[in-house]
Amino acid sequence: MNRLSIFILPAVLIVLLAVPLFVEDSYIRHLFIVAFMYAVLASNWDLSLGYTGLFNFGHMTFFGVGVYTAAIAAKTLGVDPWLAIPLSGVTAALSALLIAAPVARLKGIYVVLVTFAFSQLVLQLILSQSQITGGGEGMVRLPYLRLGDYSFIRDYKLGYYYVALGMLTLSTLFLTALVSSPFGKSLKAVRDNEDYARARGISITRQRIAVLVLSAIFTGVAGGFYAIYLRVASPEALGFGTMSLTLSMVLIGGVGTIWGPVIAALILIFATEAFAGIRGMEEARFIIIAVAMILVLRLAPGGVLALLNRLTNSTLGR
Amino acid sequence: MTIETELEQILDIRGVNKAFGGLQAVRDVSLTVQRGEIFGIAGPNGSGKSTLFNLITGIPYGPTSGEVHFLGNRIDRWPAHRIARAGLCRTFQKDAEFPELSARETVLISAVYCGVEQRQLRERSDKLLDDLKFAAERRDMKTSELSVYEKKQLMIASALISKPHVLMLDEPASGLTKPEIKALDELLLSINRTGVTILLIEHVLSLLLSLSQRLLVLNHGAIIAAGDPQDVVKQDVVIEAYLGGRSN
Ligand SMILES: Nc1ncnc2c1ncn2[C@@H]1O[C@H](COP(=O)(O)OP(=O)(O)OP(=O)(O)O)[C@@H](O)[C@H]1O
Ligand SMILES: [Mg+2]
Repeated sequence: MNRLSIFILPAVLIVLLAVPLFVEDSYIRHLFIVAFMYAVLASNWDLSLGYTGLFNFGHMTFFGVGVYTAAIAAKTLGVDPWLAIPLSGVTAALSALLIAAPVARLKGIYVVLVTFAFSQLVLQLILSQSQITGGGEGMVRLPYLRLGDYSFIRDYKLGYYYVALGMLTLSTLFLTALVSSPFGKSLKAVRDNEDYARARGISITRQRIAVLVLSAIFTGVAGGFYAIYLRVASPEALGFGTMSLTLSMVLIGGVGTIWGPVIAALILIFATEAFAGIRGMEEARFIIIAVAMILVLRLAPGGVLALLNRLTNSTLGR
Repeated sequence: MTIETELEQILDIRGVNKAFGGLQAVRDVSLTVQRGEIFGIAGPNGSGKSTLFNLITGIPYGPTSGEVHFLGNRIDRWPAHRIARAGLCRTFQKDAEFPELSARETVLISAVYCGVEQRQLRERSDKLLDDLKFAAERRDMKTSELSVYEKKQLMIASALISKPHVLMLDEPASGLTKPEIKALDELLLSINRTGVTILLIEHVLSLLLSLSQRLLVLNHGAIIAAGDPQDVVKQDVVIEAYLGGRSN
């Protein structure tokens, strides 16, 4: 991780900053934007799932709350989209606080059940409140980002590319700072030995509540961004497809690594798109993801990041 | 105002019980611990020693009935982390560790939630690890790579960093070599000299006898003897309990 973070990651950021100079195709840029968005979702999910060992299967709820917050704020209430996006982070964190209270005291499979039930509840709420949310149809033609007279839809999504990259950078800085703080270390302690952690004054309940809320912030922001970018809010945000794709990124990237899911998101979005482009393979991409997931879990349980670390350590010496 | 102030009761356990289904693991145990002493607890396998520690610290459970008073507060309904923060810190019989954290990190997180200021923490944890003779070059390694003795040292260091009033040790000598036991003996004595009260569960009798000022023996969850260690080990009930325990 250290070698990787010091040498390679700044280089990756510079490359990503330069991508639009070489890539003018708006569809490729769109893929990058989607990948950045998924990278935020997956790495934040990793905070609760990987770092804390909390089987939170309601993570996409925070995303969904973000999507609808931005949509309702920007379209119905006329809030500036620039404000609606961060607002999504706030409401997502609040929704996390709501679910955290019961979840913090549960164990194992019950955490899965309650968090999953919560996401279904929110989905039902969205579907039933169709006057506000558009129901099953969702909401369309949301206001887009603009800066003065400049509309972000122009220049082949150039503006959106940088907003998404900025969001991913902020989120990743936030997560890495978090996991390297004493609080972050204590999460690993709680995950690996609850009794010992409690015997050292760590409150499991408080750590879990904090983790859920913290992991919801940028997940909500990503939801808000996604809604404004696509100009659509649909119940699919809470669907099984989004969730399983994000989960596969966490698993393939390597749980408990933060960077792993970020890398996996970029790989998976482009890999699946590549397959979607081949005739007859449109549906095969889900099989590809599943096979990749099984292979990684069998061959490199630490995920892609562990693999990369091994490679860089051997090429950079020692 | 004269002798009472010196013999301050720090921990007062009143008739605690714990049953697992039909098995009465701890049976109506009462004891008081004085500030500054080393209090030994002995008993054959399965006699309820560890369970008694569990009841006191609330990890993972408190007593079914009875009361635990610590520094004048009734703590038997407190959550475990609050008991630890109040200054009642324990180690575990089975080697406990945070495998992915280093020794330094383990000590660090054991301090911050007990209210130790982060500014002086690095210095203090280094000094503590020095005192425990924990090898300097091994402090940044993952705990999972440490030796059994080092893990035990670390478990004690992580308990001591928050300057607890009472240190509770559950069989710290198990799995150690003769020289390591000798080092442990000296270590516990030096910890005690800094004013830390110690509750010590131990199977290594020599260690118990050399260290503890008072000794309590459990059998089938109940106290069968208590008092001066040299007297206690000579009592027939104690010898019988140990012989009976061995033959099972
Ligand atoms: N969680 C539990 N569930 C069921 N029974 C338990 C549990 N914990 C302990 N026991 C039982 O309670 C009794 C006391 O166990 P305990 O671990 O306190 O003994 P001990 O004196 O510490 O023994 P040892 O010297 O082997 O460590 C034993 O019979 C044990 O099997
Ligand atoms: Mg025991």
